[in-house]
Amino acid sequence: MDDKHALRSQIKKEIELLDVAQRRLEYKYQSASKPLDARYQRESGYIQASLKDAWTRLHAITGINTLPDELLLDIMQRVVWQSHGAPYNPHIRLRQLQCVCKHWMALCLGTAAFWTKFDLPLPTNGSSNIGLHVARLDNGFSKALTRSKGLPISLTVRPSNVDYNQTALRKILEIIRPSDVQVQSLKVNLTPIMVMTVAFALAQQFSRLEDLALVGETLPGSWRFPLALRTTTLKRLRANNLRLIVLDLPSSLSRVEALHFDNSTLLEGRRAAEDVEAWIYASGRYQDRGDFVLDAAVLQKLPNLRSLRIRNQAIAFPHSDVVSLAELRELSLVFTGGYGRQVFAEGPPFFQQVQFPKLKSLRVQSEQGTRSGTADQIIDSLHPIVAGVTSILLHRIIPSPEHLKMLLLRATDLKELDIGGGEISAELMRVLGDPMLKHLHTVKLTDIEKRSGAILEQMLSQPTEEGRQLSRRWHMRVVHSSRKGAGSTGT
Amino acid sequence: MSITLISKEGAQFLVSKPVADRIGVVRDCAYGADFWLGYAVATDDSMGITLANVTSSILSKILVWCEHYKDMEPLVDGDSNMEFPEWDMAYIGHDMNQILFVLEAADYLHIPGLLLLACKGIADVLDGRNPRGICDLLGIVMDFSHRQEVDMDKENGYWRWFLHPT
Repeated sequence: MDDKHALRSQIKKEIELLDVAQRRLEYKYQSASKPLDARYQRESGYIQASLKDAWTRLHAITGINTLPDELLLDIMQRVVWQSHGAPYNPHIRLRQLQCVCKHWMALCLGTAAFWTKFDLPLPTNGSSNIGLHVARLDNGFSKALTRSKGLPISLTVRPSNVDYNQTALRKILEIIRPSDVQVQSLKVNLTPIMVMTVAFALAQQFSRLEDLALVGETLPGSWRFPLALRTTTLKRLRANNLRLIVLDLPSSLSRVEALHFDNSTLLEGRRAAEDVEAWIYASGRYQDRGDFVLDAAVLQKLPNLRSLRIRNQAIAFPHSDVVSLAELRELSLVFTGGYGRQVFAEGPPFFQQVQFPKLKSLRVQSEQGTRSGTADQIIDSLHPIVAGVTSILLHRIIPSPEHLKMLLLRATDLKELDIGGGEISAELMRVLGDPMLKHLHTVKLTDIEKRSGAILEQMLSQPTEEGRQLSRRWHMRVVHSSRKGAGSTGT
Repeated sequence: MSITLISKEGAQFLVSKPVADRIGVVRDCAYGADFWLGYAVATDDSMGITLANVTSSILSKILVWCEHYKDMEPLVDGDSNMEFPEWDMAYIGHDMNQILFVLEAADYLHIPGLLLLACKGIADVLDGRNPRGICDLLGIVMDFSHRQEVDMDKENGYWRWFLHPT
């Protein structure tokens, strides 16, 4: 260590001397008041070359390459995987690091973890040479896959509307040989023409899949995705804009812990063939909006489900059995807004058909603001499930004070309430400070109107019991900046 | 209780115990656990603990971090997308040489939270730079053979095309 320090001091001295020599040279030629000639170029070039050499030697003993490989790899992993900064693509960043020097290249190529995430686009231009695309896939993607050395990989296939994308997709699926490559996470952006290819692959390979995301297009019309999984290890299933997913083997979902369904629903194949599918389409609006329709036959076969996210209204099929999701802890409901009262009157109430005995976290959000009456209706529909809930988030769903109070009184274990995305009136603020809500110890007001912020300040300054309670519970306020002039954040 | 830390140049820094506890080798030294490893030597309480590989300027910078985290836990583990507090990012800055010195010292002194922050700081500075830019910044020589350069060009060409297909 001491030798290293002595060497470092020696090189630094050398650099200082070279800097002085360069300044002297410049002074000498500038004071001569004549254009810089070849002699200056030669002498300056020599000093600059010596300087570069000295800096290189200095960096060799003090710089990044003196760090232990595990630290250098930690830094590299952050460069490769951190998702901010432009442009984000792990492989572009990996290539940049790999081309720095031999040592870095060896680290990049030899670290299997760097070769476990692939984001592959299908051809987007109809005039592309598909033969060339397939050949490049065969060379580049195959080679990169071998570097994963058997670690589980995550694969995303990006969408394309080109007719022959199936050829490229088939090539990708062919390269991923089940015996060599373990795909743990798969996300596929589907077009109607790809449905059968993907469905077939899911039924035949991917035996160790844990995370599956199927993303359809937001085009109007009906989809019907026949889902048959070879895997029994699936833990997370996400579906966007797929309308109907018809499940052939519900038992393959027995280990699923998270279901996220946006504009999609999941039906057991037998039931779909019977009457549920017909009922869904007969209701008319399904194709436009994509509600989640409860199929008890499927939900009953998800004993490990812990997180359920549903977008749009959840409705129960008439004559559906009552289902208990015994392990569910988180329920998230996202509404796209614009519902009228009549929507909730159709079909049996979803939350009377499905029971969540261990539910702890409930998130109810609307993408657009909801009318007060609709918000009240949504809030009332939650009564059967809030008894053991400890955390509730209501965003852009602002009910009237009486309806909110009724909900909160039923949520006897509630500890935290996050409400916002609109205007919180003084009456609503008083409900949040109600002394009867004994367990409630944290209230967050997120994304509220500026006027609501002023009401809050006023409430907190009043010597009332509600004011004192609210002052004790109130934790955070974020006023939306774009809604009412300048915003502010406080805690 | 206070502990005196002595930098490489012999400058003395009197720090409180909670601050000193953030520094692994000092903690071990003060409690005697890793005394035998020779990371730091305290022959006598009045002499303090000598940190022979840390300069005064870096030690004073490190003590700013330790002071900030004397009453709270810093981040010591997390994935690549973990967000660090604003104070941390302002503290570590963008001066590559300075961050490297901090990283070396954090490694030597056994301060996991600061080590993680320094790695994050370096990653942020490297992010978005091309290989030549990284070499210039870090004084690394591109030492590839001609054959390796040809192979890299071929594979780079593939990925360039593949990531931006036409």
